[in-house]
Amino acid sequence: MSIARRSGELVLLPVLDPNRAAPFYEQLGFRVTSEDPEEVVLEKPGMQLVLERVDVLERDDGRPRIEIMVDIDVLDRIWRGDSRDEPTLPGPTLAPEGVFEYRARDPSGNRVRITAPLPEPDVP
Amino acid sequence: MIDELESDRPLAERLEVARAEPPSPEAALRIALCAALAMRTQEAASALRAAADGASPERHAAVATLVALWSGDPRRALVAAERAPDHPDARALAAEALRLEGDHGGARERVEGLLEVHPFARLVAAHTHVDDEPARTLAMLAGVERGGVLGARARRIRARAWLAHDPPEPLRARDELSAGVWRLARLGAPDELGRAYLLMAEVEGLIEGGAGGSRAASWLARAHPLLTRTGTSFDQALLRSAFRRFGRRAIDRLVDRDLERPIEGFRRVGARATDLSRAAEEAHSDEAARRRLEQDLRDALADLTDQGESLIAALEGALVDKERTGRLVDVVRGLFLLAHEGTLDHEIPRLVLSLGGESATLGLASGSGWSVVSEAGSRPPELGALGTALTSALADGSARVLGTDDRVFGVVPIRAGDAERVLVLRGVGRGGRAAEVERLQVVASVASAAYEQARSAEQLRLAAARDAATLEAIRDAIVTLDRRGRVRAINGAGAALLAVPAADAIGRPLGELPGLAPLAEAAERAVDDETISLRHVDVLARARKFEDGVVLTIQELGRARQLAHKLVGSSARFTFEDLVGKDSMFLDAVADARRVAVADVPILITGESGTGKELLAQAIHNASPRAAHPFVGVNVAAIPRELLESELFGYESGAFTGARAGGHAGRFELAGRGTILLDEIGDMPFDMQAKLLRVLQERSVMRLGGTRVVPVNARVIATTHRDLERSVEDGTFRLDLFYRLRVVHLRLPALRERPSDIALLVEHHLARHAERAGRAPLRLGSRVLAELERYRWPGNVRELANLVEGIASLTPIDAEEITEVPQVLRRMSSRPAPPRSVGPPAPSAVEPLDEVERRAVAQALAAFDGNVLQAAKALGIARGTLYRKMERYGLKE
Repeated sequence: MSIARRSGELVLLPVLDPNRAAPFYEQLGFRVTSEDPEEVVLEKPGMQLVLERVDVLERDDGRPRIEIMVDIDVLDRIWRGDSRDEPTLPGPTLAPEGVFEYRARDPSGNRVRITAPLPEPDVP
Repeated sequence: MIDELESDRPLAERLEVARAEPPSPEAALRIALCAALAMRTQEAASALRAAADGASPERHAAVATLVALWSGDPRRALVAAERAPDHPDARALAAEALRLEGDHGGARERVEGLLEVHPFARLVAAHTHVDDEPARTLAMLAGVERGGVLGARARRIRARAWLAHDPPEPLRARDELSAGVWRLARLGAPDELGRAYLLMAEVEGLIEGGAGGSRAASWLARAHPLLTRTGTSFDQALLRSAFRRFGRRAIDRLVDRDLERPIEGFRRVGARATDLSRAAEEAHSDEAARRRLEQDLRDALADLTDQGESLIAALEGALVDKERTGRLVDVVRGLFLLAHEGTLDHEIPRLVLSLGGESATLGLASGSGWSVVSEAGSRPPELGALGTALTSALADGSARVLGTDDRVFGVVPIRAGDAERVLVLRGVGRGGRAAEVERLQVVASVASAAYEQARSAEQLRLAAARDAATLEAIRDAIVTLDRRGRVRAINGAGAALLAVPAADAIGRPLGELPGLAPLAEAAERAVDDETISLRHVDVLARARKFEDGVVLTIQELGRARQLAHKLVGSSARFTFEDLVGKDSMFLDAVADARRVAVADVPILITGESGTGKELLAQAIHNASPRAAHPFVGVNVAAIPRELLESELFGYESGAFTGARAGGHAGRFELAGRGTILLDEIGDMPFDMQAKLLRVLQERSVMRLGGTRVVPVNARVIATTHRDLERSVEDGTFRLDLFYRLRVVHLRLPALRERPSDIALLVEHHLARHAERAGRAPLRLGSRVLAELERYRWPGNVRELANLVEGIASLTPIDAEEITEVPQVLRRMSSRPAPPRSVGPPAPSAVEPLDEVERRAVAQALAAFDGNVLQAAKALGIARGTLYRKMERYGLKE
């Protein structure tokens, strides 16, 4: 199995090094619940993510392997972190369905689509 | 200001920071700015009012322009910008106001010369070309990558330009908006976000083609709550237009939601107006309470009008189904125009009948039955047959539709104050029963509110008539101005003092009346008892701002002074002209005093006895804006310790044995807005120092035995011959009080330090004597003058004045010159100057034992940070003894 599978709220994602990939997902709001060299299990409300170790990743077809929804502040933080290394990096964009979208790669090179819902501003 | 427009920091955070700043005009302006951008318009307006005093007029005007603009009132913005015609921010914002008013040429003209230096000006100019020359807009905004509201707006304008482009480029427009929305979402600017969503709906509609699809509708649904609550009327017109094109299906649901708020608002404000008008009627014996309630009632009426406008806007927003709701708008407008209860009674059936139906009857509950007030239509319904249904409708306040299809009645309860009315319509319900109930509910709410409006307006009309009579009865001159500074009322005393006929003044800006521009400017600054020089008279003016304008109370300065002195029985006679001397140290002190006279800060004057400390204090008072108010002096050293507190702060009757019936105002109260001189402050008992400090910090006093807090507005000038810094070191004077009193420190030199002034002072006092005695001025022989200059003058100028008076009195009336050194002076001059710090102290320097003990106790307590046990040990006395001594000397703090 080399692509992410969704099973209800469970996502299995192949990575080259689960322990190296885990911190990336932690900044997206996941919490590590178990870890060993072969597999790290993470959780966030409504979703369980299992990072499975593989020797070779499947060929990159340009599509994201996993989509994770965060709130806008987290998205902003991640983008700002990335743009520190690459100042011309485009910021999150507004997807037609009305969410902010930002495409990142995890330490194994998996494409990750990070989305944030539009905020509901405080209208006086 | 542009910094705030360009900042990416969330507005809510910025607002919090500004609110937490210590109050100042600048902080208030920052609050106004951030609140306006966050669409907290009321907070913005209130902060702007708070900043009116003390802020730079130009900056205030620029922020006022932004606040008006962001409140959707470009005309008010233009008026505000007029106050700072050269301020770049105000110019750029005024240009935006002109653009919104459709005057694109005027907008471009207003920002001429600013385009390269002011990003907002560039933005406005680019915006004016967006429909006709989108390429030009894009060129002007190319490379403008700025943050905050300004950056987001630049993106939106570019997006519009891409849509207006030939051919349209919706994908590029979407990219621009996408970046703009991201920025706005973080900022929390709901109006700007609403506009971006609305434009996004247009973009998606164009991409989806035809009447748009679900994406366009979903963007409209996002824009709708933001723009209906924070958008301008222009935004809302665009929203309606977009709904007609892309979101027909979504609209009904949204419209229903829109109506809920104003209807609920009506209920709330109507109920409040009822309560207030009832309370105002009941409060006739308490004038202050009644006035407060009437002001609240005015506010409630203004709220009611706002709610009416919201409802009309909401109904107009629902004009997609014009047949269903269109006439309702006319009915609502009609109801609000009928300002009298009698007219409403007469017109309501006819007006409401325009919504449909055959006939209508308006009834009024009386006793257990109904009386018909008015009817319209061919066969008006009879109320008796529907009795129970009418009572139920009134009980729960809900409109209802009764009966079957061929005989349908609409029942509209109308409750205002204590009056219960009900409107019954025959033949309604053709458009569907639920929709009909909804419409009738709108009528019920609006009619109740209209009755309440009529009742409240009548009450206020009566109050206004009474106020006009009251105004005439007031002896002071009173002028009321509206928000634009136009004279709304002026009483007889006002017309006489300002030399302007009331008929000429009313309706005209005060500043345009001959010679009254300084008064208009004072009103704008909300002065508080300030002396204003008019062409023909000096006046004392006080301006109080209120929601609708300003009330100016004006007194002729001379009369105000007389009155103040009569009331207090204390006055300041001396001015700076009475201070005689040319010694540089003395002149420096006087120059400093002149400078600080106008600044409202506490002053400490030190100098040996007789150097003229009180005279200087009086001169400062007379040169200050408080000159028309009392000058009250208290010699702290001369008042027994037990009486000092009641003397300074006053007492209520029965506060202590011997207290005067009816109580007694303290010196702080008597000083009012004038000056209080605390003479010999260095001799104030330690316990009183703490009380004085509290009064100065809290700016209020409470009389002994009293419960009412009296505000302290007087300026404090303190004097002492003591070295207060030394007293602080000794522990006999509080450091915190010292710093509070010594904001400005003026030191008057001793006479021996300014010997060159002796001749001048002698001459001055001889001239005064001659004038009083009615004789020719005397001259002083050179030998005598030399003697005087040799003398050390321990009693300083006071001693010299007394001596000169004495010599002059003893000189024969026909003499022209004093040539003999009088005996008394010879005695004094021959006495050697007392050595300083050597030998036994002079009799006056010997301190009573009590004082020595008190200082020892105070020092010990200060040395051990108030630890009584340690202080007692150090003093070699028992702790109990120390407590008793602390009690005795008032050191139990």
